[in-house]
Amino acid sequence: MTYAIETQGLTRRFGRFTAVDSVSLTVPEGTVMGLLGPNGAGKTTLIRMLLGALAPTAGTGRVLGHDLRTGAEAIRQRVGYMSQRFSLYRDLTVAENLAFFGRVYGLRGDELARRQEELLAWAGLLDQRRTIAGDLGGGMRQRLAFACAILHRPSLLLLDEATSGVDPMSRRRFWDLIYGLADGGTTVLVTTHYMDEAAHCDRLAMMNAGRLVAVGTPRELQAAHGDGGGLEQVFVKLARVSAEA
Amino acid sequence: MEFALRLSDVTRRFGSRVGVEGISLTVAPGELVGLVGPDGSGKTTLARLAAGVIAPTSGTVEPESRGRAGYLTGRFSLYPELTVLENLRFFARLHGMKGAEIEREAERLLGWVGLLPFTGRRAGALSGGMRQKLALVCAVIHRPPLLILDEPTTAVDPVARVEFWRLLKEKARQGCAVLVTTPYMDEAEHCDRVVLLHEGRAVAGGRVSELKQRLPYRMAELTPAGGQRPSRTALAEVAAGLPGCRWTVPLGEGVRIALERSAPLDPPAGCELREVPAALEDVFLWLTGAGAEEVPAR
Repeated sequence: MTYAIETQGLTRRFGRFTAVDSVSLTVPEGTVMGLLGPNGAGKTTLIRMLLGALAPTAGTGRVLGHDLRTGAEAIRQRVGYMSQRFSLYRDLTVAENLAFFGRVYGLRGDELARRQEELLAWAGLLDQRRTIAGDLGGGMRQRLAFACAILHRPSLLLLDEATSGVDPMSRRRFWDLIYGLADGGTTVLVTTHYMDEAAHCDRLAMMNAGRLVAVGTPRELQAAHGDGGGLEQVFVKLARVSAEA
Repeated sequence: MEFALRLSDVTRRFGSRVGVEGISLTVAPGELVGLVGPDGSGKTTLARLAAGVIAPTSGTVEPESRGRAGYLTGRFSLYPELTVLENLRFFARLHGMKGAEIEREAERLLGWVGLLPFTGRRAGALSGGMRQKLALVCAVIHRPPLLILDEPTTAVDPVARVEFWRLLKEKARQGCAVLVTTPYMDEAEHCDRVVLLHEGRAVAGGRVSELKQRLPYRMAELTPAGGQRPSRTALAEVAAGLPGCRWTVPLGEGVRIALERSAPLDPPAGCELREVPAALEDVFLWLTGAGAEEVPAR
């Protein structure tokens, strides 16, 4: 099995505060991996290290085959990112947004035009190409932001609180797109505070106080820590210790 | 029926755009009512109409004077540079409360939400969950008969969210009428009653358990049997081919399926199939017609 992410004892300290404490994690290629934990659990710090944006204090890690310490630039080029505040230009059209982000990623001419068409079709936005992004409904805006995040065909995609807040039908379409990418070999890292989003992931990694406290499929975690309740029960149980510390 | 808030056939337009249309809704004292729908469905417009922040284009909102209503929006307007206690005193004075009464209520409420150890901490230095609790006590310090909360739990982690809903339920049990909006179907389970909103209209309303019973299908989950790892596409095709399948929703390693009630629960080869409880989201998919598109052609 090929791993998109492999870390061993990954640690990051800020002064005397340990934000990420000896995290060892493997994520096989093509997995939709959910990263959960209360605010302050260390998720963001871990992600920043995985994306090569922050150097670890201790431990080792490889992402997409590159060493975290020496291959940060190579990692960054193969990573896509989409945040909760879909960073689109709301006064540009759908097609203009795609063209803009395409140029940022170095696409030009025919290649850019081809990729633009491909993604308009992929996201179900062919009829909206001339619509101003700010006028799109929530589900379509979300799919446009998603298309912009994968213009450069990233091998690792980070969806940071980006999956919620749309209607159930749009949500299903969105997850269909995510699953399609994963089945094609893209590894997807999802952060969310919503357990019905977490239930969509293949595997979940739960963090608390800088440590990795549980890893498994949603069903495995429910069986091991759910006490007969749902994933929310799992989260509450594993997070309670330092929730308000 | 006694009510703390009554909306009768309320419509609000913004220019040519319809914010909400033909909504009727009553909240009685002691009731916790949820307005549930995705972004853009009209929740915030309805919360603003209920709070009297905006007026309806047609229809009526009663009682006319809702100035005493507590109103809490997603963007809490706390003063980050003031302490917990200073924020609370500020909002109490805004509502005309005085000296000893403020101190007594402040101590009672901060004790209620567990913020007594933090009275001297600046609001800006609180965690998200604590800030939200402070905003809640600021909104209820004047003992309003009606409390309106617009997406109060957005971006709050699940532990703090469970705690916040517990506080809202307590507030309702004390006799306050509580109206709360949320885009999250699973949060709606905490409410006594919900109104499901879609494109500015109420598509259904009632107790969550009643709404689930109205669903004319039974829900099941199809997962690969131990050791098997079929592709998601293959599994979705198996699901769509089951007798009585109305629609499918991919879910992690499995597929969630709406089945005709009369359909058998026979697991196909290499798979496990088991009935699961209906969720409000299934009801929403059914009511908004989204599920209907998925009837497999056979």
